[in-house]
This record gives sequence, structure tokens and C-alpha cells, in this order.
Amino acid sequence: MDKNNLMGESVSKRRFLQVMGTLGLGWLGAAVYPVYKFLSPQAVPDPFGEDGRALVDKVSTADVARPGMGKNGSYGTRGLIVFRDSQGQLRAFDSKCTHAGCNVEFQGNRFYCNCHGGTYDLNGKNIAGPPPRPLTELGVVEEDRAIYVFRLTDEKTEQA
Amino acid sequence: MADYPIPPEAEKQIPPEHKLTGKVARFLLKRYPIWPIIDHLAQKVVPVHKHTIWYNMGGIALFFLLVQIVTGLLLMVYYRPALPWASVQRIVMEISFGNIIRSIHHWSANLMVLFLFLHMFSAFFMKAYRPPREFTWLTGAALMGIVLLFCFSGYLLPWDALSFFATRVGISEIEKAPVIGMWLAGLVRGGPDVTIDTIGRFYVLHVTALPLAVLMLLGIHLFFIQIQGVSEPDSFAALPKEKKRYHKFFTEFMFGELPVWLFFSALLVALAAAFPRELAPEADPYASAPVGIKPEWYFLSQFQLLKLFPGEIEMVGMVLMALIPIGMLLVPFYDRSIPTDRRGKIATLFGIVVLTGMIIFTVWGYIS
Amino acid sequence: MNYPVWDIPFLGNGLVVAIIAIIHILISHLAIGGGAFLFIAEIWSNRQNNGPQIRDWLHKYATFFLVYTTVFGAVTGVGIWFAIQLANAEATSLLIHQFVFAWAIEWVMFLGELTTLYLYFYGWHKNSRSMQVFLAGAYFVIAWGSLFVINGILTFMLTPGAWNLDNTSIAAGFFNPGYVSSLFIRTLVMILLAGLFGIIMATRIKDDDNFKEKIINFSAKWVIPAAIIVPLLMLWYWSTLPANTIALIKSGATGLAGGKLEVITRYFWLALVSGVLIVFGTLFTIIRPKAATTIGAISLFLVAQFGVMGAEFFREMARKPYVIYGVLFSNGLWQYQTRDEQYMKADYLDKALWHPNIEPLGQQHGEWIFRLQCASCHTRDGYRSIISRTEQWTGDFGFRWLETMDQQGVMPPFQGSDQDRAALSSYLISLHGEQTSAQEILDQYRKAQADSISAAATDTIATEELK
Repeated sequence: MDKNNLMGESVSKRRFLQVMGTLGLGWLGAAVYPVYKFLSPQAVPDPFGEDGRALVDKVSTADVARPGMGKNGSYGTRGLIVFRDSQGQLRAFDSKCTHAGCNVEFQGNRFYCNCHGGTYDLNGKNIAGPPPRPLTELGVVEEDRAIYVFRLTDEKTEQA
Repeated sequence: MADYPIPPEAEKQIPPEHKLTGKVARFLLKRYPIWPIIDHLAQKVVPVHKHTIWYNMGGIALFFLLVQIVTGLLLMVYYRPALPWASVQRIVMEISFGNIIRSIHHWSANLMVLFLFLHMFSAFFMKAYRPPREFTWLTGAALMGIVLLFCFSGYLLPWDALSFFATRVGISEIEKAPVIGMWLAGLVRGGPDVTIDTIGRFYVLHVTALPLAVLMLLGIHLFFIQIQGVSEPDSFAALPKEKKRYHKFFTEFMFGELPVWLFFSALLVALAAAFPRELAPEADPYASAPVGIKPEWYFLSQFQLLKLFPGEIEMVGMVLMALIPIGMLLVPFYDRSIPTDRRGKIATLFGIVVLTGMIIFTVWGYIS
Repeated sequence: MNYPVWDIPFLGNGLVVAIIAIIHILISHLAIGGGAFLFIAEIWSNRQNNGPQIRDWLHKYATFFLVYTTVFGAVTGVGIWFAIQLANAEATSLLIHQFVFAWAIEWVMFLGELTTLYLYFYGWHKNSRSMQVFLAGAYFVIAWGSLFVINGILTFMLTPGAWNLDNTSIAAGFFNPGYVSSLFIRTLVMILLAGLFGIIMATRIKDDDNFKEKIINFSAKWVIPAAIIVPLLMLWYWSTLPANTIALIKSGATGLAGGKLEVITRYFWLALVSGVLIVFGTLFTIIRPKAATTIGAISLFLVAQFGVMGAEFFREMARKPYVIYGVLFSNGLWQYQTRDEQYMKADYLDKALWHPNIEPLGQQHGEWIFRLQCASCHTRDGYRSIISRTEQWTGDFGFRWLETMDQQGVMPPFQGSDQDRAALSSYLISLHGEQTSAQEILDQYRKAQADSISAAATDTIATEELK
């Protein structure tokens, strides 16, 4: 506590107002923080549960029973495509086109984006059109007549 | 094209050219010849006397209205009229600080109505309605009606058990109006009962139609006050000129008033912290009404008064109740402030009876 | 539990303490800050040309100050004493026994404060200038000493630190982790309040606007140290809070259980908002000092009262469910007792003896368990209402929930047998009008147990048969 300042002689009125104004703004920021949090995007829960798996919606095991069958669905709040390849293996990819975000379509031998003609092969690699990056692959497993996906980096722990 | 010339008296009163504020002032005045308006506003004064505190009531109500607009806009970001209860539940339980913002909206609404009553009754008893200010009073009455409509329409929006039954009861009172009652109630409800269609029209009222109306009327109301000046009570007006003290509104009165606005901000946060607004279970049109359901306090006196006129004589009660606002509305045309006329005293007596009655019936409504 | 319960309907005994305390904090903090104000103002007046005019004004300040702080401060301070003894005799007993010399010193400080203040005030026209400066300074030092002492006891309750029942060192308890940050925060708030009070008294200057402006400028500066330093000290204070409390505050940004559990966040924000409003209010006052009104100045002071309300409620709630953190729960249960399973499961009313003769499993059984174990924090239908918190309860649900209620993070573990839980659950749902007797609840539970045992047995037999 600087007693000289409190005496009021050495601090001019303008400086006084500047100090108080700055303090006011600082404090105001803190008090307005709740409004900022209110308007900010609320936390989206991780779709992968405690065991690292997310249940797939809208795609039943019947939808991908035979090779060549595939369907758009969702996990959590994200879209995906689940399909069975020619070897009979279940595969899944995030359906969000890496160009501008439209959901791509499964067309048997490729993924095609209707928005701007982006094309991906069945390994998700972008082979034609504007997409700059491949589709994200997800690990997929069928269990008890439901389909689950998990992050591919977790694959080793999943199969343990 | 030539710029507008800056009037000489303006040159004397605005800050000098070398200061930033002076530059800005000159920039504007050269393009917009608004000096007469600014000059007029600068001369706006508020008389200082022992009833000066009542002049603050309108401003405080305005403060709460501003809070309502801000918190209302925020709530609209997450409220969904197609999923009313679920969206309010989400605001209250999931959205960061949603609970506080909703509670502030609720408390500010109540305090606004309280201060409007204080404003209305103080203007009444200070006889501010007398000529030439009759239309300030009438626009004020219209504003009071609009605010009560705000309250009634907003109350339904959470669609919880309390909102639903309060609205159903309120609108069934409209049904009792002669000849047009049923038709009018149907129009207000959007059907024979309170449904999601009622929410649709109440929502439009609450967030668009009524705000436009209030802004327009408030603008007119304040405009009248600006050009006529603040009314002075008789005791003050009778004083000799030297004894009359005035504060300039800009910026003396305003800066004196600002800490009071800050106090009410703190009060709102304190009320929201200590007494958050609850959300009752979702409305079920077929369930029984919640135990002990009552209207909000500002409708409670009417509710309690009508209980005195059950069954057959209910119409008598409604007519009586209608006479009160009509009486208050028309008071400027009755009490013309002719000094030898007794009407002034009768008007005051009327006001006292209404105010006391409202207080008594509100308290009675609470404890019964 | 070892003491009778002070059952206050609707408010609850804790809230009674809170209301008295919140009023007292504003007054007592002004009492100390005002001492500094008088001391500095005396010195300042000696250096000004219009010293006598300033001292005339200071005399008005001192008059209201003396009446407000000594009368209402003493009344509310003693009021806290009365209230805490009735609300929580066990905790008060621990604090007295632990810090008996601190309490004694506190009373010496009080005596010293009153003596120096009365000598200062009643000697106004007789004492020399230097004596007045000395008395004002002595008053401030002694008054601050009373803060020095009580701060130890108060912060001990939330952050006992290294103190526990095996290490009852007074120094460890008194100079606990939260002590220093709290001491400085409170001191700065005291200085702020002294300035706000100065502004109120400045608005009483009616005849000399320039003098009014001068006094307002002098007083308003007292708000600045708190405005700058308190946020930094809050970060320090924050780091001393129990981990569970911090988790609660953070989760409290969103509503839980209908908005009730995040009350601690709400009160924290109230304190914060009050701080903002005070800073802005002071700013507006400085911009147009001549426009300051008494009502406006009192409004700012009342904002400070709200700030105190927010901060103190926050501090008290940070301690839930303890009254001495990690040591003693608010309902009289000691932390060490929770490790003794046999003790915890024994019949509660055999341990908590302040009740009439009760018929086991009767309606009164549950009611007295509520009174003795729950009423320290919950009222029936008022503050922290138990009725609204058990709105969806059935007898069976309540019975099972009570067993694990401490897993929530703000509740103590349940003390008592199965009968006690059944009785309490039956009582709580009876408050909603549901009539399920405690015996019925017990029977239902035992039947469910038996069913699941036989079901498990059948499964085992079936699995065996399959092999």
C-alpha cells in the first residue's frame, strides 16, 4: 500500500481515471465471462465411451451382411459409412469429405462426394476431385447384433 | 456541397479543436445539423425536492427492461418453441451459466413490474398526468399493459406444469367476457385448449411483436418527456424562482443515478444466486394442477378479488375490476388541476384506495 | 450428535449463523479499514491548507463510524457467538479448546479497539494533533490485530493443512495454508470499504462542491489497491482450496440436480460481479464527483454487502460437508469414526442421545434421525429443502441411496443400521404424503436380497449342469 498515492497529491485526475478505467475493464471481462461461456459451443461428449468404443446408429448388421453392401450412419454426433469389402471384411470410414464437409456416398467400388465430385477408393484415399486428404478410417467390430467403431490407434488395446 | 456551418454558441460549448472529442464533435456537426437537439438535451433539468427520488423509478424500470432484452436474447439462442420444456431444461442444466441467465431473466421481470408500479403510482400521486402531459400518461398506461402481456406470454414459454395451468386459468378468464369471450380466448390460445400452438403465438408476441411495440411506445413516452420537461409537483412549482434547485440531467443526474443501477445489477445476481428459478415437471394437460398453484404476485390481487365474486355474481366482480384500470387511465381528463376544484382530492383518494386494495389483496392472496 | 439439535424451521440453524455473519463481516471489515482511513486522513489533514475543514468533515465520518461499528459490530459479533454455539456446539468446542489463547487475545484486541476509539473520538477537541494521530494509528493496529487472530481460526476450518487429531500443533492449525492469502484479501477489502464509506460521508457535504470533490477523490483512491491486488491473491487462495471444492466449482458452471449443486459457483460469481460493479461505480463517482448522491454512495456500499454475501457463502460452502475440513462433519460425525465400520453401522439413536424415547421403526424414529443427522444442513421445506431433493423418491430408492450418499462428494457417510435407513427413508417420503412404513421398506429389501441370492444359486446350478 503506497501511502503517498493515497495522499492524493502526486496523482493527477487523468491518471486516476485511466487506472480505474483499466481496472474496470479487467474486472468486467471476468464478470462477462459467463455470457461468453454461455454462447460458446458447449462441450461435445467424446463419442467413444470408457471402453473406447462408440455404438453405430442407423446401420444394422443386416445392412452390411454381404460383401458389397454399405450404408451411411452415425456414431455420437459424427457421420460414418460402414461397408463389407469383397473379402468379407467389415470396414468403416468417417463420412465427412475432407474438401468441404459433405457426407460422401458409398458406391460399391468407391466413395463419391456429390457436392463437388470428390472421389475416394475403398481404402479412403482421395483419388480424384478437390479433396486434399484421405477419409479417416475407423476400427469396426460386430458384436451382439450391433456394430461398434473405435479409433484405429486404439486397435491394439481393443484386441487385447 | 458546402458543409453545414457550426453555430457560434456551439463553438463556445463544444471541446476545443485540438482535442479528439472536439474533432469528433466538429466532424459530426458539419454533416448533421443537430446542435439544437443537443443544446436542448443539455438543458434538460430535474427539479430537486424531497420527492426527487421518485423521478428515478422510471429509469430503474428502464434498466430492468434492458436486462430483459439482453438476457432474453441470450435465452433465445437455446430456446426452441417446438421443444419448449426440453430446451429450457437444457439451458438450466447443461448450458454453461444457463441457470444464472435464466434466473436473472425471471428476477428482472419481477423487479421491472415492481418498479413500474412504483413509477405509475408515484406519477399518479405527484399528479404528473395533468395537462399538458395527458398523453405521456396514456402512453405509460399502454406500456404497463404491454409489460403485463410480456409477463403473461413469457410465463408460458417454459411449458412446465406451473406455466401451463397459469395460462389455462388466465385465458379462461377471457372466455367469460360477454359475446366475444369464447371467440377471443380461442384466438389467443390458437384452439380450444392451451397447446403448442399457443406457445407459437405467445413466442412471437414475446420476442418480436411486443418488443417492437414497447420500443415504439417507450420512444414516444420519452420523447414527450424530453420536449415537455419533467413535471414539478405543486409545492415545488409554487416556490419563488431563487429557491428552486435543479440538477442537469446530462450528466449530473445520470451519474448520480448510475451507482443505483449498479446496485440493482448486484441485487439481480444475488437473487439469481440465492433463489434460482425452478423448473417444474413438464406440462401434462391431463394431470391435476400442482398443489397450491397461484398466479405470480402481480396478478395475485385480481385473482384474490375475483374470489370474492363466486359463481353467478362473477360478472359483477369483473366489471368492478375493469373499472379500476379505466378509472386510472382516464384520470388526466377528470383531474384538470383547477385549484378550486375538488377533483384533485378525489383522484388522490381513488389512487390511495386502489393502491391499498392491491396491497391488501396481494398479501391476502399469498397467505391463503 | 453429542449435542441437542437447534431445529429452526425454514431457515435452518446454519442460515441463521450466515445471516448474522454476513452483516457482521461488512461492519467489522469497515471497522478495521476505517481505522486506517482515520489515521491517514488525520496525517493528510495536517498537510493541507484547509486542515480544520477536513477534520470537521472527519468528525462526521468518525461519528457515524463509531456508532455503526461499535454498536452493530458488537451486537452482530456477539450474535455470531450465540448462534454458532447453538448451531454447532461440537465444532465450537473444538475451536475453543484448540485456540483458547487466540480467543483470549481476540478479546484483548476488542477491548483495546474500543478504548483507543473512544479516547480518539471523545478527545477530539481536547487532544493534541499528534495524540489524535497516535490514537487513530493505535486503533488501526489493534483492530487489525483482531483480524490477524480471527483469520487463523476461520481459515483453519477450511484448510487445516498439516493439523489433524494426531498433530494438534497450534501453530500448524493457526498458520494453515489458507491463512496468508486470506489475511491480505481481507485487509485490502477493508481498505476498499473504508473508501466507500468515505464517499458516503462526502456526499453529505452540501455547501462546498469543490471540497466535496476533494474528499471524494481522496476516498475513491482507497478502492484501487483491492481492485488491482485481490484478483492475484484470489489465484493464491484458489490454490489452497480442497480439490473436491475446486471440482465442484468447475462443474458448477452447468446446472446439476435442477441447479442446486452449483450454488457455490453462483455465489462466487456474485462476489466477482460485485467487485466489477464497485470498480465501475467508483469510476463513475470520480468522473463527476459533484454529482455523487448519498443514495448512490449507499448503493455502492450495499453492492459491497452483496459481494461479502457472495464471498462468505462461497467460502462456507467450499467446506461442505465438513465444518472442519477432513476432521469433523457438520452433523457431528468425526472423520476418524468413519473408518470404524462397526461404529458406523450401529444403531444411530444409541449413539446420538439427545432424543426422547423412540419406538424403533416408528414414524418418530425417522424424524429424529433427520433432526440429529441431517438438520445441520437441510431444512424440510425451506433452505436446502430435503423435500425438494427427495421429490422422486420411493421408500426403496431412498433406502438404497442413503447407503452410498457420500459418493456424491458433498455428503457425509450415513451413520446407522439398516433399520435407521429404512426409518429415515420412510420419514422423508412421508413428507411428500407417501405412506410406506419403515418395516415395509426393510421387508422389501430383504425379500429382494433373498430373491437375488436364490437367482444366483439357480444360475450356478444351471451353469454346473451345462458343463
